[in-house]
Amino acid sequence: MIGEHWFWWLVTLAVVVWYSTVTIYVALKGTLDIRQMLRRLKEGEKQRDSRAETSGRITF
Amino acid sequence: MTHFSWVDGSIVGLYLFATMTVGIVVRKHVVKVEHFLVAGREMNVYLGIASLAATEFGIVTCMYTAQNGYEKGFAGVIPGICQAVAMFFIGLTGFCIKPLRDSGVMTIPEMFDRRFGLRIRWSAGVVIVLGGLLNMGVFLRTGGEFLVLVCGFDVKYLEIAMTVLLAGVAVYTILGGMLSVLVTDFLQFVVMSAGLILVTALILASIGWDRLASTVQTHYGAGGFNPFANPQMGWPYVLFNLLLNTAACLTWQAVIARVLAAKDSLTGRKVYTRTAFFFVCRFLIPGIWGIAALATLGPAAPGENTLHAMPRFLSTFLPAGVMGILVAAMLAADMSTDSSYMLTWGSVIYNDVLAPFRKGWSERRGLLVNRAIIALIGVFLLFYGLWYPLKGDLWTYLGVTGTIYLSSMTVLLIACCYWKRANNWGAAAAILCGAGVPICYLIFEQVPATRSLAGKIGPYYSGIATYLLVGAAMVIGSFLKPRNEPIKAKTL
Repeated sequence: MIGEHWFWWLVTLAVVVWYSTVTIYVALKGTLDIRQMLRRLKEGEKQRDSRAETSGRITF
Repeated sequence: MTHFSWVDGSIVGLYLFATMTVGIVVRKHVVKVEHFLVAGREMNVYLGIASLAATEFGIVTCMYTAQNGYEKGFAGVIPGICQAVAMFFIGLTGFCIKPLRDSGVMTIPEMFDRRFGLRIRWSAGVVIVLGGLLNMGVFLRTGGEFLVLVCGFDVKYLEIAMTVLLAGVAVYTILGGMLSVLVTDFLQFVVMSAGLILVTALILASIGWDRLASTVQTHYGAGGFNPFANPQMGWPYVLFNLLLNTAACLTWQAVIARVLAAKDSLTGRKVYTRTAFFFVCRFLIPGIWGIAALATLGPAAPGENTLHAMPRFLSTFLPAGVMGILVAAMLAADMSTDSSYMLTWGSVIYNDVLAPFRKGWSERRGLLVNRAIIALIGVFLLFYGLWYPLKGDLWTYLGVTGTIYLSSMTVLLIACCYWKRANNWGAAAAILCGAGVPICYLIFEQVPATRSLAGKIGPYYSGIATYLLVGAAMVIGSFLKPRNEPIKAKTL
């Protein structure tokens, strides 16, 4: 059966190997991406707060 | 009899608790509409891969791809291969997605505004929302059917399961928008992938590749492996799927939202090229489950719903513990899809359909309106999902409803990016054609007097005709408009 339908056998093998590997890799690298994203958003919030504070001082 | 033990319940409960907590915790970072709709454009490659993969695989995906495997064998994987090829080349070349991301827009119709004017933006928004919500309308019921069948629960719990599932998703999507969607998508990608790989490995180990291939050979012959040798498929099926999936990669708002939320266009392109092969997995893995159902349960009896074959097979095949992992994986898949889709169509309603009415709104008011829109979409889905009677196979329904906007939006986007002569007359003609043909087909399919005509035309020819007509409408409409008349484009 493998010889007769080698194309689908190879696709199945590629899917199982690729998906297993990518899941582990993305699970590790994605955690770092989330940390970076939240850190950048936090920095943005701090910058906005300090700008608002500065402009508040000027106004009053 | 239920096949769902306390071990399975604990696994599912743990998963639900973790997702809800994570989804709600990140809401504190949402202070602007841009954070809510595109996560402040801070998404990086791997988070993008996880989010795109999780969004584009729901229980509904699992059901129709398994149905494809059950009814068409390995040839049913062709749409996934078409999508993988299209996505890889679009990512590699940056075709349309590079100018789209570089433009800094939050939705596709916003880009049309710059070239074709506010009316086209509004019309495009309406068509996108119409096609998208009709498409998503069957998600809930299908998801509920899977959970009830696989766990062996009483069918009377289907509506309750649907409502609870939707309410849970709505809570964190309303609170955290795209930020909650991205973070929960990541968790859901890991849980979903673990479940998919585990169940597939179990099937391949216990049923075996040879038995799966021989089952397809016995029931479908060469047509189960080669779509061109299958009388139900042939070139119209392959061509329609190639057009549909290329269009989906270019303009399906849930997919393109990942490009728009990316840090820059290069990140968006990397997300596309590196996620492309997932779309083969997306069709082949449940396809194998469907073939395994055919091998163990046999072909469906006349009148039996082939959509239910795969969950019925899994309900008896999986041991306790693995059943819990599967249900958690499927819940993860469904929640990520539902949250992303609600946010996506909500973003188009806010950004484009409400564009003429929201001048001078504060960020706070914008966030409030966005949240209200998502809640209303949830209510619509609940009622539409309960009463719409699905005719024919699920993938075809999704293809036809998706074509309502995919055909016209794809032509508009390509013309907007690469054809200088394109104008608002051509755009309007393309939108009308793109929505008209599939809606007529859906109506013909439901009305008894025209049902046989719809059956003769078939969804594939009707789909191909839509793409051709829309392209012709854009060209003819654009050439009909006198060249000296200026385009009245107005940016909000």
